[in-house]
Amino acid sequence: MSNRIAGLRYSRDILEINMTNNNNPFHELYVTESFGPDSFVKLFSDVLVDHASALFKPGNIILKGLPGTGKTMMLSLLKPSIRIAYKQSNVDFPVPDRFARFVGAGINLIRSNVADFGQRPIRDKSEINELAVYFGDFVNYWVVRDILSSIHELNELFSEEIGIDLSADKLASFVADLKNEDCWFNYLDDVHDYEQLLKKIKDRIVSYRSYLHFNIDSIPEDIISTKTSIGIPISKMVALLRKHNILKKNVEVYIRIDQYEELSWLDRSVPGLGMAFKSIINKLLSLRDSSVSYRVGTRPFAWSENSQEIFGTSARLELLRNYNEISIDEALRRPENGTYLFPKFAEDIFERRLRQANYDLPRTKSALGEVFGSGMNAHEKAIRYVPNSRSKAVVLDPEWPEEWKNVLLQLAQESPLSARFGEAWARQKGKQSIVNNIPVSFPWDTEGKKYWRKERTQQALLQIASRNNQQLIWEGRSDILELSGGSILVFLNICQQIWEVWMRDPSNKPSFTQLPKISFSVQTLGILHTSSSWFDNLSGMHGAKERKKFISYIGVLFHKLLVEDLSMSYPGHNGFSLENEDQAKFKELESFLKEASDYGDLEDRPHTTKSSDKKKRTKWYLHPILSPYFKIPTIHTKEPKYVKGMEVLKWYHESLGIDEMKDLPSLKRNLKDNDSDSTASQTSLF
Amino acid sequence: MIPIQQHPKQAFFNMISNYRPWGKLEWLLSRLSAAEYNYYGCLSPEDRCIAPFNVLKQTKAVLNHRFLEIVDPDNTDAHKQNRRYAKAHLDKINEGEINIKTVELLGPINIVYEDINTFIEESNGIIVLDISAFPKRFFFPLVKILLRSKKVKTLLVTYSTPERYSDSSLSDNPMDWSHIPMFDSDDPDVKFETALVGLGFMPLGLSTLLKDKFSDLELKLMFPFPPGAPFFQRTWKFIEDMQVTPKIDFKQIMRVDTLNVSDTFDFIKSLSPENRPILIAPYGPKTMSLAMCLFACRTDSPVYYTQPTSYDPKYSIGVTNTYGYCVKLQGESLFF
Repeated sequence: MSNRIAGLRYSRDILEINMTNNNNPFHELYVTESFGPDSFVKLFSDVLVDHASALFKPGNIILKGLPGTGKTMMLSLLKPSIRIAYKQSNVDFPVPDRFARFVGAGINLIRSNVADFGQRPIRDKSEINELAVYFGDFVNYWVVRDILSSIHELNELFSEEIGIDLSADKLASFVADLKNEDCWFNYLDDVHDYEQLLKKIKDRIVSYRSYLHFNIDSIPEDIISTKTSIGIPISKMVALLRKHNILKKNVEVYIRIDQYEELSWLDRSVPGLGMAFKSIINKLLSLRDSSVSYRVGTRPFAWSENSQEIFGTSARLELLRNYNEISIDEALRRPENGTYLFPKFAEDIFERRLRQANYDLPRTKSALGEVFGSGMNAHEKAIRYVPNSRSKAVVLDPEWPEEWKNVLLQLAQESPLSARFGEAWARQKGKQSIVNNIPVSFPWDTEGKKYWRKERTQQALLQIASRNNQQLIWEGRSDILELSGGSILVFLNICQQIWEVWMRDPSNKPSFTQLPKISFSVQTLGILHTSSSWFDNLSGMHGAKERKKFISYIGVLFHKLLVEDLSMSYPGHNGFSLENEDQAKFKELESFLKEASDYGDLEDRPHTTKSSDKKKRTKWYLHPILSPYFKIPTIHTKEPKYVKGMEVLKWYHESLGIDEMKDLPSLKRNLKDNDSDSTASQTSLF
Repeated sequence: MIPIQQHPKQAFFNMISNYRPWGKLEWLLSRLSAAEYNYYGCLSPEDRCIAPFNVLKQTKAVLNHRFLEIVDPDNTDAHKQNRRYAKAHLDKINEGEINIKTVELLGPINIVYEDINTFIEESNGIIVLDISAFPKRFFFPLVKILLRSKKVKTLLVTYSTPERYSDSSLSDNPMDWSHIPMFDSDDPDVKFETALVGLGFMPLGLSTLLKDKFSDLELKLMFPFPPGAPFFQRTWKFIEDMQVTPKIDFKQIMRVDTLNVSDTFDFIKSLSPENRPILIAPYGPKTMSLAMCLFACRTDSPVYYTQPTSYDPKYSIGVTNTYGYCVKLQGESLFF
């Protein structure tokens, strides 16, 4: 049965589409398994897979990326549940077949409760190194169990494809061999079959957790006397899985270590504990064992700041020798020159979301461009900033000749932006003579000065808007990509908020499947909301109180500098540049800045200086999504503000309302692993 | 151990099996027969850490007492000064220096575990635990240990309401989403169907959590109501912040009486008729959290939180009322 309403076939199908399209396609920012297998595989973008292909090849990999860039998404491809989702949805797994013979398993260091090892001594007076050994033992058993669990999970659908055989006789001989391995120190002696093996392993994990949750009084003696060495049981077990053909010889085993960097925070509970636990994981990576490969996702500075000390030795991890690195940021962050992967990644995710919401997508054009448009040009924006009186685009110097003033005022009627350029031109050193010798054609409008204009366009627009108390317009595909700053999380947030505003707009005509064209005003509102809530939510993270105040301080400072720079001589002062040597003198400040960058609040880039000393420098900018909130341009143009470390330290102190020029406790309490290095390692904890 | 004599009014309490006495602390104490109490509280920069000890001292004998002085990572001069002020006040009430143990906010919970157990051992089994100024990271384990202890026969939990909260950010720099010590399941395979979130002033990254980690659980939100002036605006702001979370429907928000721990506990119990564990996130007022804590203790429910590491040195100012809640009476747990 179907009804006809206004020529439409009002069927159940249409009702469903209608309901779907009343929802925001960007409601859920994170693609997780909770989406359900069908949705997950439709929404997952494979654009980054090529860039991160080393994840699916043997060898230890450190996957570096800022929060929200897609690290977790990439690592999730190693999870059996995701692989099964692809199979069940009849969608090709994004990993090429030749690399797809693997079993993924892992441990989330925080969610598995390893932090509890710092909450209770194992013996009366435990030492950090002893706790670290127990931690390693716990990790061993957890990972061993997860490998077996993954094999079971994959067996039903991937037995042939991957090469898994769980036949009873193979499991029996595997167990018989496994229990006799020295690495268990006879802990598995009473295990006689596979079920008992699984139970014994789980019992050990439960015992640890029970003790650490204060539900039992002591760790059972048979655990205390059989502590395993980190990584050894994992390697032995995988070797035996292959030996007994439970896994075919060419099946790789990849182990995810999630939230490695968060171990640093354990130092706040027991000084040196996080460092010791990291050195245990580092030892795992240092094992020269080809039977398993480890995968660690981390923020860039969190990894480089880590001492990479290997437990029980004076050695440190070495790049290429012990591990290789993949940087997602390199692929997604806009380079100073050249192309980058992010636009393609964002377009792909955008289209997948819309397709999932049953929208018809354009076959040739970009859906992002179709919905948000290509963005209005700078001249059009300038006109919109002076709706009532275009002459307000310029501020005239009282000393200027009347004729020049009239030229600018007249020009402002035609093009407020060009008039603002003219005003700046006349204020710049060496160019002031123009006010007396007015040329027939304006020099700033010539082809030869196109870079002069380009470098100053965003600053000019900011000033015109500011002079007329107008909000900056943010809209169009390029603005949205620019504001995302290479973060897919920011991009989805922007889309989510724009869609929310659009859905609330009463003039909006509902359509079941046709893509909307969203107006610039709706986009601006959505973007402003995203920017402001992004700033608000800065406080929801580690160490964010100080970072938020500092960000606020420099955001306001940059806005002021750019607005008050009437000659537009410093259009690059939406960022600052520090000499690397000078920056290194202020260790705590450097740590603070790097941590801010690791959380995506600041962006750092190497700075090729134009100063004669050619000393290496680093440029620091706010994340672009904060630009609308602070009303500063996103573009990194010309030279940033050159500053000394002492000046940035002064900003920091002022941002916290501190007058004295001395290090603050919060700066001293930085989380550099080097600081906690070995100091507390032999002290009693409890 | 000092025997507890049956006060006539207490006999009345006992007649009603599901009656859980609570009210203004003076009133509650006047109805309890016990003469000597052991007081365990928190020395904090907040004025309200003083009030329950004062009430107890004025009405009953305090056999023993202990104050945990909790030092936050962000321990400014203002924090220290406010704690000194509170200590001076407590010394005066005690007519002598109070007994203090200093611990770090993020320090090993074992230190607290041992301290409270020693305190219990040295007590007559009649304990008053004041949660007014204790961070949840502390009072949840304390309640659990006191509930478990066979020696503890009577347990009163006290709570003082402040005149007002600080206008600025109450807490900052939250840690990652993690369980409160002693509040996670031993079995790593346990799955939960329901998540219960208490709503407060400071979302502390909760909206992100709701979008991410809770997305596959049935979500219930407890809204303390009526929050009363001047708090309601901030609680609604919390809700507003939550509104960016698409899955929240107002039908998921349950209003509970802020001070009525007993009713709130029964409400939580109704979410899990078979007393199955549910995932608990105790944002919001401490009394609401106390009800969540009592449920979690009895059902082994995990309690997760984003522990702040920086608190406003004047988190709250002044005291309006002090309430007491009977959790255990003459060896009987009144909850479950």
